[in-house]
Amino acid sequence: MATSALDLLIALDTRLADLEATTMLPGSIPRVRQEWGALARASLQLLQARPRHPNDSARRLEALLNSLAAAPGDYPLPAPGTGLMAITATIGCTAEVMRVPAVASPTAREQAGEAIRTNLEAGLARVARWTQRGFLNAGAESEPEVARLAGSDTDPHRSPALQTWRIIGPTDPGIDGALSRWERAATETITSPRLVTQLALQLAAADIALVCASASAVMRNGADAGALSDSSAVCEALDSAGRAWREATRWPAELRLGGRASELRQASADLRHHLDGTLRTRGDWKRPDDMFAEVTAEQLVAVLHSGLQSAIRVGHQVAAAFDDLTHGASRVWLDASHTPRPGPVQRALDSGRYEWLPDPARFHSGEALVPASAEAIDRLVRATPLTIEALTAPATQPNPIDDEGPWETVQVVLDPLRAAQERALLAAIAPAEPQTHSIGL
Amino acid sequence: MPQTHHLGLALSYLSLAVDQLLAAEQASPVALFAGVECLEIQSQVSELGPEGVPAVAVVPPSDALALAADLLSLDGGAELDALAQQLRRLSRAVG
Repeated sequence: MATSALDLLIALDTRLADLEATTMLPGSIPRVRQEWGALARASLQLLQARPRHPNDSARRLEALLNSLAAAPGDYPLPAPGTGLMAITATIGCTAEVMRVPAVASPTAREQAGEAIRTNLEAGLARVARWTQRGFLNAGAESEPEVARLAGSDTDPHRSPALQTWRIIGPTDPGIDGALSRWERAATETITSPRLVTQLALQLAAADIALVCASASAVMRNGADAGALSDSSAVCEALDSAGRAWREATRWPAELRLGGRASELRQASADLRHHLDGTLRTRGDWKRPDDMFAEVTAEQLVAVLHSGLQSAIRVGHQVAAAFDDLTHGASRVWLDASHTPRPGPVQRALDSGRYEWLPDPARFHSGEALVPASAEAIDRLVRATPLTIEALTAPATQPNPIDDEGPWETVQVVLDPLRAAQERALLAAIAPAEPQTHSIGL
Repeated sequence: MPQTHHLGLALSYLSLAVDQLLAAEQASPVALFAGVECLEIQSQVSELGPEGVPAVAVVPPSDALALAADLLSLDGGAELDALAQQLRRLSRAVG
């Protein structure tokens, strides 16, 4: 299933609670020491994979983990193990997700890096305290590094910026899976000289415009529903990117590129079908209440943000294909009437009834296509990080209606655990149906 | 075997409709979704091999799609007939 770094930090919290509910068996102490080696190694990898500021404050944590970490090759340890194994796997998966290349704003990178550090440090402290308790009961002594980790009182905080790092797979349900299949089909088609066609490039550009428009509609509705901050800037940027990609679908009538692109056509139709089903009703965008009836605004923004990241990667391929048509091994065909040739050659071509000819090397007829795609990718790269910015900024609540009348207002005291669970439910991308997991824990 | 001049004309009308539906000034999601679907149909028809794409008079997208549907129907084959039906639905949607 689609997984974000935020989902994995929530899963880590659950794994930690599971561990704390267990009691360490005295005979498992040597095993726990080995598992700490693997845990420290995975934690170091996560610290290194997260976005890092030059003045990073995790040096003490890194030093402690370095002295605990197993040498590469000492793990994976054979099952069965303790609950530490599941925690190590979750941290390892988070490191993998954080390695996914993503376009993110400096603010989102900083918030995500800090959230990873604080959650990891707080999580390791909980594991260390569990270890100390178990060792104490067995009359054994834990490593001094574990004791130091146990003393940490770091307050973990989760940031929606962590939704920037998200993995989607082709078997995921809904828009996620459709996006993943579309990205793969588009990339294969566009980068294959045998498959790429003018209409495939146009279709990929139009699909990107569709993703931009869908993201803009979600952002606008999310703000109207009070779930996101003011979205006017991000909607304007997304609409501008969408217009630029529509512009990139235009080809001069005198240019052509033949081939076959049936796989991309199917993937494009599938993507359109899923966007349509989730976001539109009777031709128009759904109203906020309908759009967010089954999934929260934050979930949909995360999904569409993954779509925009896919669109950026495909967009780069489209721009590269246009550039190659002009400056590389050009395969574009030119209307024969647009190729002035010496008289005898022209007469021979006329007699052969040639209507289309390969673009002569010095003509660079595809040059006209290059600026539109370059401008479109530039606007898309600028717009995409703004979607996550809208999640991280405080939401603008709709004006409260003063309908209290004579009634006394009673403050509801929330159970902190219940509140945390509800927040976790809101943040998790809930499966609509049984799913095939793309990441196994 | 499809008549290539029918397909060429149908492609011209499809291209005309796509240009109008995907125009930058279009803000309607109906036009955008329909434009992408038309591109997909255009790609499918173009692989059937028509050589020329004759010039056609400019007409609104709904008319262009209806004309393209009629031209594809002339073939009588199941594949093109299905595409013609799809185009008639789109013509009504954007009309």
